[in-house]
Formats: sequence, C-alpha cells, structure tokens
Amino acid sequence: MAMKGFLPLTLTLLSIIATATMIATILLVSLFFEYHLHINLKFEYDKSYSDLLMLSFLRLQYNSTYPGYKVLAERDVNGFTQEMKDFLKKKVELLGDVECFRIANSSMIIFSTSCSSGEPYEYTGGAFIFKPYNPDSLVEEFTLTYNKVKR
Amino acid sequence: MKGIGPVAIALVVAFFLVGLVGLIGHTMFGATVERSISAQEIEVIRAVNKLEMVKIGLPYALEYSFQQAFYDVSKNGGYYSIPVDIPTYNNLPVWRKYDKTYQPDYVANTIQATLNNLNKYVSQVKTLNIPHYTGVDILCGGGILYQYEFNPPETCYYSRLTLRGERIGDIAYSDECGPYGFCGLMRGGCSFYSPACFGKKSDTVQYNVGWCYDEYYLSGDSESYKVTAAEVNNRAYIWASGEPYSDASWAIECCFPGTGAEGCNSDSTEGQRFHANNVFSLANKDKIDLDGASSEDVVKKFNLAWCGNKDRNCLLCHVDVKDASKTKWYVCEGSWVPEKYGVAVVKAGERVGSFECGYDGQWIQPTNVFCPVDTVTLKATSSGLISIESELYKAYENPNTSQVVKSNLFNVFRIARERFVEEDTIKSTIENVISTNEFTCESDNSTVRSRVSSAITSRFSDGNVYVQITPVRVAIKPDCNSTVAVAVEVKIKDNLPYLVYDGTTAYRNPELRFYVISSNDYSFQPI
Repeated sequence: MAMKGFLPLTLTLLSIIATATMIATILLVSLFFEYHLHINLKFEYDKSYSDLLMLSFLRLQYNSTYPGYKVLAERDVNGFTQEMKDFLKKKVELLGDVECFRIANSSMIIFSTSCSSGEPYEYTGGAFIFKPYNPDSLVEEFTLTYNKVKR
Repeated sequence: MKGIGPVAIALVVAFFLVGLVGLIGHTMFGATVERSISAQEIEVIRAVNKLEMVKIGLPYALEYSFQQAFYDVSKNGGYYSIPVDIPTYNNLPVWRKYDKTYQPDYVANTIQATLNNLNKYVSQVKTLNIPHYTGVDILCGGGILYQYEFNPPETCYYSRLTLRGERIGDIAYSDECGPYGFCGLMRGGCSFYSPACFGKKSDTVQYNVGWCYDEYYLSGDSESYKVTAAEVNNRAYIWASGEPYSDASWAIECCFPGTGAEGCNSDSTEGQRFHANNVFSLANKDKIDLDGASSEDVVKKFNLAWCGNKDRNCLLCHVDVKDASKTKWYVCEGSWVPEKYGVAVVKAGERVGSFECGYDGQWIQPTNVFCPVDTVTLKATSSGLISIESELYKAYENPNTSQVVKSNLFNVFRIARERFVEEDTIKSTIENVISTNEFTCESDNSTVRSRVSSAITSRFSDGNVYVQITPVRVAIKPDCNSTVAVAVEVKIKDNLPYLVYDGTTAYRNPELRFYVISSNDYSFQPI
C-alpha cells in the first residue's frame, strides 16, 4: 500500500528536476550567448570609439598650413620630428583620456608612448590614410592601441 | 487528500517555473532588443567612421593625384603620353615647327592624368566601396575668402572712366555730400551739370542717374541700375551695364591717390576685365569679403549682375575696344537669353574664342585661362555614391570632393602658349639678331651661329615660374649665312614644390619641357 503513494511523488519530483534542468540549461546557454554578445558589443563600441579618436586626430591642424593628416601621410618625406611626435602625443592623450598609446602600420611601430605598467593593450582602433603618390602604396592602414587613464 | 499531495506540489512548482521562465524570458527578450539596438547603433557608428575617414582623406588623395599628374604631364611636354603623329625632337614633343604649331591640351591632359591617379587611389581602398571618379576640374584661384566690398578711395584723383576702351573722363568719390546734395561716386561732369547724380555707398552701388549727359554715365535716364564693385590691388573697379550702351561693357577703374598721372594703367584693351567670367581672376587677386564671401559668391554675384542668374555662367562677353560695334555678348544655347543689344546665341559644342558652349547651357572654361594667382581649386566628381553595407546597416555618401592647392599650372601654360604658340619668339629673336648685326649671305658662318645661339639662350622668371630657353642645334642655310634655323629646348618650371613619385616620393618641381623649331625664313626647314 505504501508503494502506491511513492510512485506519483517520485514521478512528480523527477519531472520537476528534469524540467528545472532543461530550463537551467536553456538559461545558461542563453546567458552564455548574451555574455558573448555583450563582450562583442563592448569590444565593437570601444573599437568605434578608438576609430573616432583617430578620426578626430586626422581632422586636427598641426599648424596653420599643415594638417594632422599630412603629419602622418607625409612623414616619410617630411620626417617625423620630435615636435610632431609631441603634437601627436598631446592630442591623442587629450582627446581620448589616454595614458599611453601605440600607433603602428602593418609592418612597424610608428610611434608609441610608455605606460606606467607594461604595454598599451586595452583598446584598439584603426584608420587608413592616403599617402603621397607612390604607385605601390597609395593607402596606409594604421592601428591605434591605447590604455586609458585609471581613475 | 492523499491523491491531492503530488498533484498540488506539481501544480505549484509548475506555476512557479512558468512564472520564472516568463520573468527570465521577459528580461532576456528586453535585453536582446536592447542588444539588437546597440548592435545597430554600433554598426551605424562604424559605418559613419569609415565614411568620415574617406571623406577626410579624399581631398588629400585629389591633391596628391594632381601633383603627380602635373609633374608627369609636364615631363612629357604637356602630354600624358606623346601621340605618334606629333613631331618630336630628342624624345620630346615639338610645340612649333616653323609655321605649324602642335600645342597640347596641357591643362586637359593634366586633368585626365589627375583623374586616372585619383581612381588608382580609390581602387586601393578595400574597407568600403568608392565609385570611380568621372570628372576632375581645375579652376583658377580659390581657397581664400575674398573681400567683396566697395572700398571707396578718399579722392579719386587719377581715376578714369572707360567707355569702349577710351578714357572719357575721371570719376571721384566723396563721403561728403556736395552742394547739390549728391554723395558717393560721381563722374566729374555729372556733378557739375546734374544734381540728380548720386551714389550710394554699398557693396553694390546703386546708381540713379538723372539728366546727365548719358554718354558720360554709368546708367541710363532715370533708372536704377545695380553696379558691381570690387577692389583689387588698391584699385577699385566698378562694373555696370545697361542703357544707353547695352552692348558696351562699362568699367570704371578708380585709383587711390598717388598712383601716377596716368592713373590706373588698365589693361582693358584686352577686354578681359569686362568679362563676366573673368571677375574670378579679378576678385581672386587678394581681396577678402567683409562678410566672408567666398570667391564663388563673388562669381555668383557677378553672374547675377550680368546674366540675371547667379547660378549660370551664361554670358561670355567679347569686347572689342577698337570697334564697339563688334562687341558682343554670347549666350550659350539653353541659357536664359537677356534682352540686350549685341547678344548672340551660340549652339552647344561651338566655341567662342577658347570657350566652348556646353550641352548644359554653361560655358566650358578654357584651358588657357589667365590665372593671376598661384592657387588652383581641384574638384572631383562621380556619378556614383560611396557605400558601406553590413547586415544591419547601409550608408551612402556623396564622393564629390575638392581641394585647394598652390600651383602655377595655368601660368606655366600661359607663358608657353603666349611665347611659342601664339607668337614665335624664337623667330623674332633670330630676325632681330640678323638685322641688328647686319648679317648677309656673305657673313661669317660661325659668327652668325654664335650670335644667334647667345641671343636665343635666355633665362627669366615670371613670379614663381622659371623659363629657360636653350638652342640645341643651329642650322645655317648653305650660301646664305643670314638664314638660320634652330631647334630650341624650352623648360618652364614651376618653382613651387610638389610631392611626386619619380622612383621615390619626394618634393620636386614640375618642369614643362618641349621643343620649338624655327627659322627667320620658314621656307628654310632643315631640322
């Protein structure tokens, strides 16, 4: 007689456990994807912000006749003087609240500043510029990697 | 009661679970919508960033394309590639061979080369689609804001009023109203004879001329006319049109005190100054609008004054200062035709001088434009759109771009054209040497050769443009040493630096190089 009462209860409990497991699995998987989506969005947002930082720099004037764009585009011809580097450093730090950064193209580091701890790695943005005419290389792509100031 | 226990538990738990799933689902759905919006926003930002990146860079790509094109075309004697049917000497094109000239369309070739270079730039951009450019234009001047104001001289002691190229009197400007109550700009005679003459100080001078002897005044009887004024290089210019000489171009050149007894030495005999399209050159010189009007505004104002339509370069004035009856206003077919005496309608595709009537009713700028400044405006147009597409977002942008650069392209061409195509300076030089030295057929061959060579060899500069003329071969007619033919190398260099590639990218000066073969007697053609 006692066995009669156990069976439905056991079945009920088992179904509850099964359902809970299924729901928990679905939730975990969903949360996993959500988390990834969140991470990706954050990454994309940070990248867009970094791109914008490069854009802002390219729009700046180095002096009354020489734009920031040409500082980078014509550096192989006009040189990349310490004054230009200081200008770049000052503007990037100011525009993006940047502690340290590195600008590099596909083959070399063009300019970098030192961080309080290690290398810049937190954020990355990119830009491309048109270079003075050279049939082999008319467009140059840059990446800007930087760490923000810790507050 | 026994049977209710598990069912009740199951129901409670089921309700709880359904509620929990609903709550989590709702939260997750909301979060997913937000994420989706965020993702779209990021796509938008990313697309805008890329479009901006291109838009910032295109003017520089255009500038570099032009600099390279100017250099390459000049190096080839004005050609993008030298045609086979053009005579050459030392692998360079000959612009003049005795009485025949072979002038390349130097500016048009530079435009074409600029277009080709620019399309090379855009084809290397991979992150978004930039359409190929279909048109490039190079315009004289630009880049500076032009002052477009009438800046009255204190007293116009030496100014003059020009009608049909002849000086017909002086004009004066006074801030103080005279005894008859008239102020502003006055023609001397008018002020004596007509109290109704008065002017109004403004960037557009409004004239209202009453009973004045109309041949002396800017405008006709009792009518208001808008007169356009501009100040260039310390000279005030006032343009006017209307009765009684609607076919005549009127211009006053008003000098500041102390510019000499001759007053402003107007080069009005060229008729250029009166040219509606040429106000660009005038206004371009160095003046800035008080209101920050651009050179484009100046041209628009002028077009409005002349054509009644600010958006059209509809009129082309040909002023014949020696014979006023030959003065004409040419209107390009398809444009508004003003009711003026001497207006002639020109069909699309036909030329008036060097201007060509375009199919849109606009005059096409001649390539031999006189450009008094060392600045040009480059414009590139495309019929397509810059596009960037992703799964969530599509963005389009107009690819048209422009850039102002320092260049003497027009001046280099003008010097070459004036000296070696429109005139044969080399022939004149040989004739001069032969006659000055009184060389005859009996003269000493080597002396003639040496004198001719040294007379032709010359260097001079015109602003930032340097010209070097070097005779490479001097041929003497057998038995007549006073007949000489020469092959001359001409180099016209723009001293402004350009960033160009010639093995390496560096600053270089474009140098237009070509040959001129001439003789003091064109029937002697040994070269």
